[in-house]
Amino acid sequence: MSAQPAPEASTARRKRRSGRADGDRPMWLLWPRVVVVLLIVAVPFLIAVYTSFLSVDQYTLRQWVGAPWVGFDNYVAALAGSNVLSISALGSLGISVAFSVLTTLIITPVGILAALTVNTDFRGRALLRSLYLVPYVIPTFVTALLWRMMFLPQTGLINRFLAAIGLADVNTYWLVGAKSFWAMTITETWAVWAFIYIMVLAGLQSIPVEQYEVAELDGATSWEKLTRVVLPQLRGLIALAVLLSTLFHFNNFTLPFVMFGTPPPTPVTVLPLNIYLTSFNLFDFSLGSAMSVITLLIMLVPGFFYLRMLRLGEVTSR
Amino acid sequence: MRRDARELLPPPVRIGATVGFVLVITLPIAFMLLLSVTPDAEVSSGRLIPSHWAFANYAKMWSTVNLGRGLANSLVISGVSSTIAVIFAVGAAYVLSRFNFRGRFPYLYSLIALQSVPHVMLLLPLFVLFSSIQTAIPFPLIGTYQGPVITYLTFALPLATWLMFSYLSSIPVELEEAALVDGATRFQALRKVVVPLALPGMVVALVFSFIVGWNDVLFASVLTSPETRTLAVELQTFSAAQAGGSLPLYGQMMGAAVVSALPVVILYMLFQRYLIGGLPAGGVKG
Amino acid sequence: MKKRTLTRREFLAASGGALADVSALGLAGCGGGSGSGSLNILAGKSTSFPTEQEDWFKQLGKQLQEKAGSKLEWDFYDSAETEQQKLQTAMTSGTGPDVFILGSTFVPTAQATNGFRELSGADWKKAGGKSRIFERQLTMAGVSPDKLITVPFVMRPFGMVYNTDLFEKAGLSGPPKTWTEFVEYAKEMTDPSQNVYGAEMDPADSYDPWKILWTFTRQMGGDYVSKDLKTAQFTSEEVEAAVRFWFDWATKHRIVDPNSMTWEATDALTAFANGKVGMLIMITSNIDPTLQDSKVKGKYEYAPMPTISYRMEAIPAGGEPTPSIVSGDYLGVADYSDAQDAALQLINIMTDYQNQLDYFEAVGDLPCNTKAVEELARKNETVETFTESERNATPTPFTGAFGPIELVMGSVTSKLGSKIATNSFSPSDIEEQLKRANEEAQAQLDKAQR
Repeated sequence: MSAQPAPEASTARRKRRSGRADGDRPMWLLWPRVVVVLLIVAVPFLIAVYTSFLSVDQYTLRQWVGAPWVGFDNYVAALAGSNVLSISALGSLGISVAFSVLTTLIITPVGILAALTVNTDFRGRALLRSLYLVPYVIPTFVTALLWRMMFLPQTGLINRFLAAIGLADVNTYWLVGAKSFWAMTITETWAVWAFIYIMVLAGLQSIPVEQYEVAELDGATSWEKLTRVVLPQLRGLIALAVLLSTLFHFNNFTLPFVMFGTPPPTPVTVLPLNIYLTSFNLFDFSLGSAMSVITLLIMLVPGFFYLRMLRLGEVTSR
Repeated sequence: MRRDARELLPPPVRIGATVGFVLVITLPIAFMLLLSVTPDAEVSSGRLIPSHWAFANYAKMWSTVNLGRGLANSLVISGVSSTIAVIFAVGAAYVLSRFNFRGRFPYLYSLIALQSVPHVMLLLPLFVLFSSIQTAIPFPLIGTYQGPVITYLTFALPLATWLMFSYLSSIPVELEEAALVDGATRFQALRKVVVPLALPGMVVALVFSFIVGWNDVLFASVLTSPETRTLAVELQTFSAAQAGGSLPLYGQMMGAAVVSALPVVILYMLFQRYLIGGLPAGGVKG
Repeated sequence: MKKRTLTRREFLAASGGALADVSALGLAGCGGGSGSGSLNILAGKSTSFPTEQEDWFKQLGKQLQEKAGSKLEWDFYDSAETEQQKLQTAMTSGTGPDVFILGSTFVPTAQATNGFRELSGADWKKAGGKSRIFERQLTMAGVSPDKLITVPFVMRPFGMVYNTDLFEKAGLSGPPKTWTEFVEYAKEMTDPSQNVYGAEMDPADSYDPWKILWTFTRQMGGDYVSKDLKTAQFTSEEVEAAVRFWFDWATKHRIVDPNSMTWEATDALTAFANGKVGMLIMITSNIDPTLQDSKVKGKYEYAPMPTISYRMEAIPAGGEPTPSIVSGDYLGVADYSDAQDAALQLINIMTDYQNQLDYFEAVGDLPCNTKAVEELARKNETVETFTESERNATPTPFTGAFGPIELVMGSVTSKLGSKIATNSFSPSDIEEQLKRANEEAQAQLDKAQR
């Protein structure tokens, strides 16, 4: 993504970043984000945390500020409990993690491959590039409904196709039971692989042609160009994309909700769905908040280490 | 014309992969198009080809729900929120990538942390917060454009900022410094030197941020009034079935879905030419 | 930016004036509750007749303007989920619609929030009076006759619809009156080679299962909840028998499509509309537009659901011949509203004879105004059938815990359904699921006691 700086230039650059006030530093550019985030995320979050120590349900909703204090009861219930309706917060967390990681693992190579296929110039490239984006821009719940119909037993397209090529019974159930997790993952994969694709494509496009030409002159094969010139430069971007993608799938509520309805089969009860059911359908907002807080805390840890490890936070990225 | 040096895949692989992608993408979409001209009652009846082509779906759907208004509203809300998000993101990313300061890592880390907050838990408290604000000061939030815009912009920010940060980090400082030496202010340097180079990243950030608002149903359904209702919420009406009542209008919904996917695709098609980037020849080389 | 303006213009052409609304709106927008002189009502959207519904509200607004000088603004929810969300956001924040149109199953929850106006005698007078309302509907208007918080608006009695063609082919006449007959008839009509089944099930639906099972339970003399609303009774004989009976349709009698284990109500309706199901239960007359448009047009008839339990001759002691649960929409006035007087006047207008008739003409929901509905029943056989059902309808336990309890039952049936579908079912599963459900239900009831 960048021209290789000469060693002197990078040392000089590092010196300049010593933190001394160096002329005008428009630090105020950092503030707009802080303000909106405080408003939209931090304050509501604190409200939710507050309610997690109370007992807010349909009876106390109206006067929730003064709802009875129950201390850590909700947290205990969130960790321990699983009820007829759904599984515990930790169980859902497990499913969410599996879902996110799996989806990301699949879409990363797929996205990279797709970006590679449209890297060069050819007629109709603009069309193809835009076509690749289409699954991503269809509203999530339309995708969910579309694929739900395709996964229906007997009449669904997937089963018909699989039966036609003899791989599975035409009555395979994708929407209940263990396979439901796969139905969800497949659908999500189809919808979001463009996320990786688009980021990688932008990265690819900004590698100057000269680098490719230089490598060619050096006698590199396609594979060597790919692995020695291109991928190393994209490493930071791909690592970022992977992280963001994982977090993004974590928050995906609409897909399982629309695809499976309520109550959802256990294998697809991802965390946002569980929180929603608990808060809105069971009216137990406090428990929902407690679940959210616990899982947030748990997720912050790997995020921290991931950042540190990949040194994504560092200014120099290659 | 010599072979494009950017060719990274052997032709059979490239062609095979392209064909594969095109198939996997277009088949479900073709199904969607097929459903959009199927009469509502026949969808999910198991027959693939409908008994008669219900092109009327495309006409009916504009009046079953206020689709036109929903489309307009979504365009405005998503457009404004994504534009502001990218502007904020570029600014913040610029500072983050150029300067070292105390609190830099926490700031970056907070971007990740925020992305991890389950939005579902924010729904009710946010509504309460908004309604308290608009009671206290005469600035309406619920049922207006501002409410959703501010919300979506906030949700899109972590993503946009990270993208821009990653992108800007790879643009060498020397280019701006050259401009600064030439007497430009930092802002002019930012505008004239950095932004043009960051355009590919900005396009990506814009599209992603746009989709955040375009797709959301949860917050839109509580934060909008009939006048400001977004497309996503209107679409949901098609799939609603009253208890013991009529069938959902899947045929019309698929037609509406086609219409709702178009603007973003068009947006991308128009902006994707900015995705060609790279440093100008003669830029600072190592 | 230029590109965006162009796109907006394109859509202006398509939406004819939508943009005008949009730009006029600007930063205005309506805050929740009522501005000065305006009344805000939240209703359920009719997807079959959206324009007619819109028109009805428009002329309602005109009447309100004349009578009370207030402007009417209306908003719709498209599903029970959204209805619930709007109720919750309004109750937590104290801002929202002035008048809610609530489904009968939400009235107990609404009462539990304490956020609705308890209607005094004077209020009832302002709202048009109890005497002109269909009596049965009043049983769900509040926790007790002296603590009513809503005024019934429309009724949606449940019944069943049967395919006259299939009945003829099987040599059957007339709808079944008992569940024993139901099973027999269904067996006669079932022909797996044609994919035709006498009955259907939708255990994956969020709403139907608990209603069906409650109906069975009640007919046998049991209930989900004890009369004093303190104890959960999911492990009682009657509830277990109800669950067993229903799932026997799939496992023992085989009168339903094996795939129906994953069906929701819409799937069952689709199957009936395609002539694959002999009898569809737990439906309201609102499905008529769909059926009119389908393969079975002209080949179906409505009837009340059977009222006598399987293998029983008569209703046992303590049981009720429940052809339907009390069902419909109710009008409630929010406590936080500062236009409560105008709200009551609106309710008066909405429940009067002419407007109720007009609403039926518009969207097909049966009036709660007794005079209006009896008038319609005289002229329309379908209306007569369903009205008769509702005359004997039974109210469900009126507790704030009932919402979650419905969900608990729904979870039981969907789990059992998916077990049967994946061939991992054994009869003891029923007891097990009900036991866990009972614990959960009891926990909910305990909360209600606090």
